[in-house]
Amino acid sequence: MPGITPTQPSPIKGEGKVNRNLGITLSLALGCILMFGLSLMAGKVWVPFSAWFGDDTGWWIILELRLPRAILAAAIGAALGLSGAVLQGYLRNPLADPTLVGVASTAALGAVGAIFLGFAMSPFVIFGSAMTGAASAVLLLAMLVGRSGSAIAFILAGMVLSSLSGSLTAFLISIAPNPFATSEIISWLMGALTDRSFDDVALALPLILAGMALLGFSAPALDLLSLGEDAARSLGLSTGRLQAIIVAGLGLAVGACVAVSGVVGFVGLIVPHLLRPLVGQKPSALLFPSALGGAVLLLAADSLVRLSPGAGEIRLGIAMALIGTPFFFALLVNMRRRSSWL
Amino acid sequence: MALTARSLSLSLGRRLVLDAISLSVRPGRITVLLGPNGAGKTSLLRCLAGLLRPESGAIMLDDAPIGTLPLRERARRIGYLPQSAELVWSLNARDVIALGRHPWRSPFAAPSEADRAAIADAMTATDTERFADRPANELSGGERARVLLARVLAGSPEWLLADEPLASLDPAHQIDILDRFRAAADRGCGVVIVLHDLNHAARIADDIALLHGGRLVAHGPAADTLTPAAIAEIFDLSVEILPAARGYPMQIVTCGRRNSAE
Repeated sequence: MPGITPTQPSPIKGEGKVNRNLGITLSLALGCILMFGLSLMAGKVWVPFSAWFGDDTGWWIILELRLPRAILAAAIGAALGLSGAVLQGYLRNPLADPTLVGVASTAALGAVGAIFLGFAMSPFVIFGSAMTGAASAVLLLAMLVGRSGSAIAFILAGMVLSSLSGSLTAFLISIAPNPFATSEIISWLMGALTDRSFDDVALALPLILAGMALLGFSAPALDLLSLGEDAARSLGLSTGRLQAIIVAGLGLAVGACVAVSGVVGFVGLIVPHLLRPLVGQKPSALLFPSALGGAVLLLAADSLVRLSPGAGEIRLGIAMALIGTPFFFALLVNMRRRSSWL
Repeated sequence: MALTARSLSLSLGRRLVLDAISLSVRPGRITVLLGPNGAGKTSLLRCLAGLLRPESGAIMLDDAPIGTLPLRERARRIGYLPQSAELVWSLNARDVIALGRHPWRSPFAAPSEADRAAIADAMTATDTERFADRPANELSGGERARVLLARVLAGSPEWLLADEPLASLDPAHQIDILDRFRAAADRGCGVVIVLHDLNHAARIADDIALLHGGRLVAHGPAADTLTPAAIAEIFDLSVEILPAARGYPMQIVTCGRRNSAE
């Protein structure tokens, strides 16, 4: 073989970085376990750890109310964190977020359509309708982008979908048949995990996990894209195939998240940003920590909203927006400082 | 063995950028693509790398049309170094170089002994070990150019295609990088480089392909192609050719625009 011929192996270097990343991943996994425990205990009724295994009625609160909610919070947080990291790597843009590509808003439109038609009390119908919306988004994205694999076409198509589904959602709200439907739609759009059961877990979890597996499969290709699209293609990357994997993964993971919890924003934007300084900028190295970080963040946020004063609780989507907006602002200010915009 | 363009034509939008180009490059030789801006050099190189599909004509790798090769096989055989030296994410230099082994690895497998050896050899050939663990975007332009060249060399390609690899490098680093290409050619690699500097082209090239307006105007050794008349016609420059000196087979002194010199 011409060119460089391998002669002898080099000593393994960079082990310090690998060990550090492993330490961060393990810390996040531990944080996830702790937050999961906190999520089981926290709420209007505090259920201490001692009540978990006795005859205390608190056990039923955990089993019937908090366990499915904690499982969903962990799964949704992980899916959104992973989706954000994958999208930022794929689009080579640190401001990319799963809501950018239109899957979330189209899934939301599907759910809103079901509520509009009077199925507010039928979670299965809402879920199915939202997943139909997500599937429609995937098909429309595929049609709009074609086989080019172009990231710019992907962003533009996502913006078109987001804009269209946002407009249709607003239209449905404006012509809602009664105040109850309007209230249900707006409440659902705010995002929440209140009163979710194991039925919801059984519906959403397999789809979320399947989507996450597809997204995880994109890891090596994301590293190649760091070199730019031409260099990545010259190394054997099929941009069209990668885009199909990512769109399908987002459709399943983000679609199922929105279908079961409503729209919860900012997780996919914040988590990769927080972790990038710790684990480095290599896109593949960011994926698993982002999934764990997303789970930690959403478990913590969902525990906190239950501790809010008053009879009700702050909607999870609102809480994340309240956390995420100042973060986004700080991010922009920081970017402006580091660049020569001013 | 040869990498061959046969009657290659390509339009981008309404503009014809390559017009019936036929060209063959061979292993162990360096072919430099020369021409003014917009002559079609980068488009031709991207076609040779299999990254652009021509409207008519074909790129043949040995006897097979390049489009029929599996992506992985094409990636193993052809190394492509694009013009831009910027990395989107600042990976460590070692990680960047290791990406060159992607066509040889299973996607989720750890690097094999052969991978490590190829990466080490590429780093040695480009003298990049010293800053291997630094973020690539924090390196100087010359260091980053060497890292990106090492990335291509780590893939042990039979063909090495580089688009303006000397852009933004100081003169010493330009000579340095050219020497790395010569070393790769001496090991049997077929090398195709897009350059702008006529003296560098004369120094490094076994063959020069002169492009103008999407057409191949001349193809052959530097002494035959880089004539004052050809340079005046293609680059609109008046030049004087001086005798060989210190590694340069000829010295091309630019005397200004053709019309102003007249």
